[in-house]
Amino acid sequence: MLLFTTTLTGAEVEEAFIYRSSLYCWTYGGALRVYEVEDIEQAAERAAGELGLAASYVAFHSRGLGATPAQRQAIDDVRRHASDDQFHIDIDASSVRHWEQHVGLDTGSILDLLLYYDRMHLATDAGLFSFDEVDATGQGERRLEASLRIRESCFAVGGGLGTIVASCGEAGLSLLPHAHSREWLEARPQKVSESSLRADVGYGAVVNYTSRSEYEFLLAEFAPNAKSRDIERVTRATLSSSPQVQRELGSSQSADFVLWDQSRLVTFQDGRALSTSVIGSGGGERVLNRSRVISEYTTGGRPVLSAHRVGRGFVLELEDRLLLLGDDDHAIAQSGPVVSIRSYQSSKRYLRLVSLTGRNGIGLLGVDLGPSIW
Amino acid sequence: MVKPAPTATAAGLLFPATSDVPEYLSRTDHRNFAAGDRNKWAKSCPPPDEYVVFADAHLAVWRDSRPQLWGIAHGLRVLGSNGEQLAKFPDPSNATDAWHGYPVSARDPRREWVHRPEPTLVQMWVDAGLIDQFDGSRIRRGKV
Repeated sequence: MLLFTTTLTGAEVEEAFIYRSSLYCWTYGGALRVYEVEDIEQAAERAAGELGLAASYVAFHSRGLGATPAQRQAIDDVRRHASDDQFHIDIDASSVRHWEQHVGLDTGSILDLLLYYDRMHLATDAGLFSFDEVDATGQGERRLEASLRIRESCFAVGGGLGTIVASCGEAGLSLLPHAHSREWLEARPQKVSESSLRADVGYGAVVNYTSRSEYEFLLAEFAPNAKSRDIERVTRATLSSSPQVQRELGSSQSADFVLWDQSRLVTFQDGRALSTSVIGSGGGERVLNRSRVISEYTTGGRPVLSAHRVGRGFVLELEDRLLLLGDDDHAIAQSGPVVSIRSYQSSKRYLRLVSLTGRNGIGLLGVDLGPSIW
Repeated sequence: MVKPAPTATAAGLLFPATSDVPEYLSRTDHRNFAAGDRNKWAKSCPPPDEYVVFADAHLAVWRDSRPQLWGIAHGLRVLGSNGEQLAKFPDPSNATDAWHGYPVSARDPRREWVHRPEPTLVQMWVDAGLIDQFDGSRIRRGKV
């Protein structure tokens, strides 16, 4: 397992999200700042030569998609000859070309960011704002116009199955359908739960987390004969657990964090990551069928604040560090707290990337689990 | 700040009221006997320091919409034995009761909302220079 950390130092950025070929950031001053991935790659090569090429290959070119021959050669060389397994590259963020636009929104704090079907969604204290046609190639010349879609404080925003899910804390979970179409502009939020910290969408369900470890399972129903599989409504599933799962997981109160991922629930508790399959037993019932331990880790008693799958591994966020869990081992990926962190498992190109905003700047972590996998 | 001399009581150390700060009780049960590891003042934050955290909160009126004061020390210094960096001081039930408080963290299980100060208060701390925008953002996200 190799870890390449490229840091754009000095970037005072609260949120970062990589989408298509650009890195979108929101600064503490309320400006949207956009870097081109290609410019970051060139800067990494200038800063670190072959190591920079290898770091870019891992971070930005899953399965070699779009990689240059020099990047392919570099990662082969590093895999074969490197004596270390963690590499750090610092790039002065001000030396990397970017454009910036002050949007002038009275948002309060920015709490989450999502780019989905070419729209940008910003979860803030003041609500959920959305921007149409965010066009990095326009180099900021087109004025960004925001629409306020939800007026309650919005703590997290997610997307999947053609739907935006907005978690508004004690104001509940709302769905906004048709996120990929013009119908989006008229779509009204549908409140589907009374409390929501965050939500995951995918594999026929919306999993709504009412705390870091407690959740409800909402089954997605799709409009019949629709050309696209957009969520029309959700219904709350009745959840039960097999005896094996009850033995393995115990009480949900002992779990630190739960994640809905690839049609399984991944639970992080007591130093173990457990994968639990979820099967239907008819109608609106779902059974947590079987749990198995997929990784073990030590946190020194610190709770897991968030977890993000990257490839076959996970990055765990603790209060003062990030842990990288691989198949057979785990390591400290980064020391220090972060504001935002995310991985990109819906992307073809960025499957090995974790982006974060830390005190030093923007971190771009490329996790290399070896050539046989990626 | 001049700290009044406390007197020992059965419930803890009682700091008498001053002209600016009401009576405050550093409760023994939030030092030694609170259930589990949470919500106990750290040894590195002895009662006189605990009192200062409260007094600062009272004098600066660090409130949000809920019936309590919130405490914080410069630079997010650790206040609690479980690494808590914020404190809560609930409004006393009766006007004649002494104030008391305890360290809290939004990292605690199922406390993601109740132990998270509201954004306007967090901005006050940033504007006062007690914390920077990075820590302010983490507090707003329930990571502190």
